Amino acid sequence: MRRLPAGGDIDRSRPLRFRYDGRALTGFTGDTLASALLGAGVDVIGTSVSLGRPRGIISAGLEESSGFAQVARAGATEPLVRMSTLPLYAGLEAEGGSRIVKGYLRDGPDDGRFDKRFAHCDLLVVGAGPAGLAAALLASRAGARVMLVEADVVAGGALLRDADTVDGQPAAAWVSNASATLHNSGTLVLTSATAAVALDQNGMIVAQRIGANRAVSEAGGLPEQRLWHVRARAIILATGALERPIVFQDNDRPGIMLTGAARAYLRRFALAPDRGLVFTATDDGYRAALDWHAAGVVVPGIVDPRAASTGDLPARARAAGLRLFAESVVEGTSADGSGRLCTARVRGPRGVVEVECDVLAVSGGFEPTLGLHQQLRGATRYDARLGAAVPATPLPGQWIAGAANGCMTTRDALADGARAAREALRSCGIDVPGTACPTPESPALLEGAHEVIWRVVAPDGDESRSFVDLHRDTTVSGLVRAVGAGIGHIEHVKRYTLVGTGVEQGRSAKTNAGAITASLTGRPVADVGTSGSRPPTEPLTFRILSGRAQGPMYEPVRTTALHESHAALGAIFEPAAQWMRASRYPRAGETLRETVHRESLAVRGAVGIVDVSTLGKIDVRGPDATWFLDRLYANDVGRVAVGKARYSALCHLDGSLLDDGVVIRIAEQRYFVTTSTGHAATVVEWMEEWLQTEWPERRVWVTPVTERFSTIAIAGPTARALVARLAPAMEVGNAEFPFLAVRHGTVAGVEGAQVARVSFSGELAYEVSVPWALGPIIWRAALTQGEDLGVTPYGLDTLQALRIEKGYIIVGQDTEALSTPYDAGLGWMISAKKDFVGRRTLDRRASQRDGRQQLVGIAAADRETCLVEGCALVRAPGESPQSIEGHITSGCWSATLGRHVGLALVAGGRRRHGETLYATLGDSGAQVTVVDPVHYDAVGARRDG
Amino acid sequence: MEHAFTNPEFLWRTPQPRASYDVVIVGGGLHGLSTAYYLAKNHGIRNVAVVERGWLGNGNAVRNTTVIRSNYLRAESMPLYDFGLRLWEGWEAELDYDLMFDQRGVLALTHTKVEANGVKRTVAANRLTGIDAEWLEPDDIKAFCPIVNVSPDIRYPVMGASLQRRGGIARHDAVVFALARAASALGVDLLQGCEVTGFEMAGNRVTGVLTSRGRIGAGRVGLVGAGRSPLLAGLAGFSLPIQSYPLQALVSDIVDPVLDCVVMSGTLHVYVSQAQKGELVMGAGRDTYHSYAQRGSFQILEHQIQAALELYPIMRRAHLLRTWAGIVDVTPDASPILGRSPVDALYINCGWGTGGFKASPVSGYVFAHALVHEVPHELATSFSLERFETGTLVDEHGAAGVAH
Amino acid sequence: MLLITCPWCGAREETEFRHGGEGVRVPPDGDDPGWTRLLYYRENPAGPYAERWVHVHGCRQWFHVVRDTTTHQILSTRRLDGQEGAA
Repeated sequence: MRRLPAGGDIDRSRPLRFRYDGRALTGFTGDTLASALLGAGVDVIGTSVSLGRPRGIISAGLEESSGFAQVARAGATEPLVRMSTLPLYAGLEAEGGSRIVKGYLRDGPDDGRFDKRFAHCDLLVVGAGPAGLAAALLASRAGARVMLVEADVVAGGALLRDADTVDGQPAAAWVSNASATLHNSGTLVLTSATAAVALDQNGMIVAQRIGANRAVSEAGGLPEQRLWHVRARAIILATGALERPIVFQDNDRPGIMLTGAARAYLRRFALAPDRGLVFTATDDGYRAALDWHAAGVVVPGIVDPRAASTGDLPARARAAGLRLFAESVVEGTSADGSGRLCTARVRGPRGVVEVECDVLAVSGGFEPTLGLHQQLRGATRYDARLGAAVPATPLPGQWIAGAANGCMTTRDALADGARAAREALRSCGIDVPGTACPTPESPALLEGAHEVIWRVVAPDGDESRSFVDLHRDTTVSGLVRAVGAGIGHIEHVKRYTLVGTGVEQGRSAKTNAGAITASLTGRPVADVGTSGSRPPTEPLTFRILSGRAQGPMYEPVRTTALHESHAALGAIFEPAAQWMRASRYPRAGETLRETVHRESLAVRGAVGIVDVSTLGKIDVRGPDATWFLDRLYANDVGRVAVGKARYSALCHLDGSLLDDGVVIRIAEQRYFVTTSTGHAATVVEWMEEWLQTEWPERRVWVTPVTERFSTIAIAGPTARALVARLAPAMEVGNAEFPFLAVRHGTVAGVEGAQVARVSFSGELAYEVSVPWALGPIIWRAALTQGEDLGVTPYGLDTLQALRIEKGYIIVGQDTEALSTPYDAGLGWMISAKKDFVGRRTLDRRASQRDGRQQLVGIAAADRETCLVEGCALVRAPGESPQSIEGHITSGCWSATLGRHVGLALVAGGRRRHGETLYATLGDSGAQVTVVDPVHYDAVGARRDG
Repeated sequence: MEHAFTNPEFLWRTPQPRASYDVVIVGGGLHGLSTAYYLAKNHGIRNVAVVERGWLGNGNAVRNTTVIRSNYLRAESMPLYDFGLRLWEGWEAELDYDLMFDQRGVLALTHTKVEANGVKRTVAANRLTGIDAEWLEPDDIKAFCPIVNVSPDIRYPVMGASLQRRGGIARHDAVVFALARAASALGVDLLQGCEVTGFEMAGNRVTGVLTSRGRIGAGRVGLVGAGRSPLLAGLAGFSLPIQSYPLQALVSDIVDPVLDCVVMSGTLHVYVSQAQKGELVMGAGRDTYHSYAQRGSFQILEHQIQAALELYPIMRRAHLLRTWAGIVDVTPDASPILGRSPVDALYINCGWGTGGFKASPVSGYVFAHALVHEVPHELATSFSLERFETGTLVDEHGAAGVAH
Repeated sequence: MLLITCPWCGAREETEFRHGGEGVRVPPDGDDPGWTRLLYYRENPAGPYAERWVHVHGCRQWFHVVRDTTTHQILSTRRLDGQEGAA
């Protein structure tokens, strides 16, 4: 093609330099990459996927099945961007060649920004062609909140290429007036915005290119792309129609394009061929010839398989003196040395003529775009007039209008858009009287009957160059092969030949593939149908789905009020559920084991402090709180006295452990319940579910209060001395404040602090809970006032070592999904007196089977042997296959015992204490002894003292 | 020519239903076709029909991510799945079809200590059972799969991974074609567009299936209708302990190779491989609600991509080209149900959950055995429906954790 | 993605809710087959399905939903006490 000296919507005063395949080229502001390439004389844009055939641009919009490029952007590079809807910008760098069909990814910096937005409206109109504009205009005039999204770079759709008039104005002028009216009325109009995924209940995912359509220097603060989550009370799908190509031999040569594309390139971009031939089966295709002729382009003829059309457009062509090849088809083409089209072979009633041309505009007619409708399983039916599927019934809350609804003329599309808008608004309770908003008018056009033609049989029978799907290089020969293999169903044809699996999901190939398969198998086209469409309607850049949720914003990080305090002490952190917790506080030069060793000995020998604020905390109160907790917890929490605490556990209905924790009775009708860090939300939801669904008559209130309280455990033989200093008014002696007692008082000046004598270390311990933000006061006071007592902050690693030494489990680590309290050594807790959730399963034989995986302790044979968590426990190391007795659930270096100890689940383990097993990851094994889970201070003297 | 398949020869017959068959298999997916194939091949039972309501393979066969592995946890499961993997290793030769079966290795990343311990446990169990498995530290992971972000600074740093080198992928469509061809050649009638609407019973014994193409008599009936198993069971008058959920997956556009193994992440709910054609194939965790609609919710895809880009930043500018959802049969213990049903002569094969593709060979192998001998194959004795009465479940939630 | 009408708060995105399935109906003591069914068997129909959801990132209230599992159409939402929602 060549650029005409005048015309088009391009700004010739603002040329833009860009690069394609390394070549420096120039286009104009207003161009797309496709039009700029055509204007620069680049007709051959690359080569096809498997046959390596030269390929060109096919369309001027969404039908494109050939023109895709790798585009550099923000230090990164994006594969397979559609050229026909990519606005040209200064410095655009694109690669074609083999990259029109297969892109590449590159690691490294990527400065692009991708955002998300959420929008609600009364009416979402998808598509800003005649129907969509008419619908949006009417709805906005009626006062509805309207959103209009258009996939192409500008609004207008078919009106941008048609010479029709609307309300007496040229179509393009009417489009700009309509857009301005909508803008002024507050309608949100998004262009370069694809409605990509239809959601249930009238939701729509819309992907919009914004900054990505401009030079980085001009994008300002705009995100490259934006993902809209839209919820609408009603949706109008005015997604228009796509022009269908016709399959014939060598129908893929650069220079062969759709008639709508030929007109759009002429009208919008002032691009024209030297000699433009038209091959059309409908009147609409004549527009290309008429437009070219009016622009002074040589039109060697119009090839039409029909005898003679009685329509207005063919009449105009005849009046203009254009040559008509009636009852004729293009049966093949030839190319010049670079692969560009140079002649078309036209077969008519009187034989074959070679017609010279550099562009061949083809039209098999238009067919509705129904991808969004089909995503939600909207039904379609075959329309013999169009030779394609049309919607049967719209889905609830949706209307289909315009060409998408089979209304192919401007006049019909405008009227149908207005009709759909009235109906959609009525469903929203907005009535629009017919007189209030006149329907835009466009002159009627008499149209001749269509001929439905999908394929011209190759004269020499060789259909290995008759392309059905340009992107995948699928030919009629491929379909013949599939059918020859016994395949009949179109989905099997697709999977056998890959037709329709390209980057555009074979939009313009599907109908032809179905129809040709039908003809090859002698079945009606309607029976064969087309392969289904899967969302999205357009490819979505991965990053638009993640938006800003990357790196530090991938998922929220929860920190305790003491986080800065830990950091100041040089803590190393680790994720625990969503929290960051301090693992340990290493001193310079210490190894991990040395740190744990030092911290452990400090707790066992003096006093340590640890931040346990992440433990879940729940306030349970009400007249039925006791009854309620008794129904959920395995032991008799109802018998806990006010001011006392009890360790307990929750089971699922199937008897498996859900969580464990401490239940503190604060008052007669009020409890403070703790959960493990990872189960805080689960337990609250569990309580609410039972309360609301099973026992709604019970008067209980459940409130999660995890982040209301900072909790610091003070543990070790000198803990009492430290607490006495911190809380001088509190009686801390063993008699006044025994194990499992709970007191409230002033600690480090913080009034109303809760102090509970519970222990996860096995040492004398006090857990101090104060309002969240005041946690650092307690922490600092403990460090300062305990200095001479040897106070040492300790982290999760030491906390783990201490609790493993004591045989205290962590549900989820030392248990499996189906482990019961019996399995976990908590059988003592199960009340004999009451029912609770899970009880009936626990009473079943399978729950108490002897060979179940039961909790045991394991001790390494010597000081050097390490116990790796996850190791299998076997009888004979080095043998495979062999049966597995169990596995190590927790292991640690025990500073107190001077060797590694651990916990394990072992088949029938409770009766196997003293047995020798070997811990292995599958090769060599380390000798261990099965022992009681409590490795240290079995009588609990230290804890209770 | 680029065609997915290079075998130009004939695939399968399209027969009319006969009045009756020795065995009628309900469900023309991979497990149904595999069952029919092994009935004919291993047991000489060739008077067999596969009845399929749509087209062969139209359910989960074409709605999965084709991951193949055998690194399960339990003593009951490992031999079953590993026998299945060994069948895969022989299938291309046996079926004489290019299945694009590629043992490129399956990595299972871990991001928490508890998860790492669980995966190590599986590695140990696998090795002690004679199944290949390795534990990789982050540096080893980087060497094996360079695009994984093993930086300690990400939100959930990679703590290690298990690797099963014999694991891999295959091309799902090719497997459908190959099995259908083999079964058809052995005399199995593949009846497409044939929807089961009920069962004909004599007392408590099934004697035939009522279909949209008429009544078909049956000596025995095997229900292999993943995704619709509960509905088929309902037609036969019994219930299954199965819940049906959507499981979504997606492919990207076609790009040059960046990934030559399968990588899964349980914590981050994403798994990915790259097909030979070049598209990235990615799966997510399942949706939370029951559905038979073969679609899921969009936020699942958003979370999946977020996770993928944390782990593989190179994929940032790939495109989501197509998404889909299958309907998976989820059992209470994430293990399948294989064997007798409450109805005489009617057998069930279902509950493969999110991991049915890998089990295609072994599922058919052991189920054909059960249909012929009326007792479970020795590899499948633990997977009866009765286990939900006795409570002897085979809990594989850990190994089946992330959907795959 | 579903849009669910919480009877207390009105229409909200699915991401604010958690699916609770059919929920449990505890059988009387001694009904062992009933107990097995309670543990492992749930309704799983293709079509209208009575399920429960909880507005976990909202009012934390459980409520009844009837949803068609073949179309995802939500046919009704009601409070647990059977009342229509005020929202």
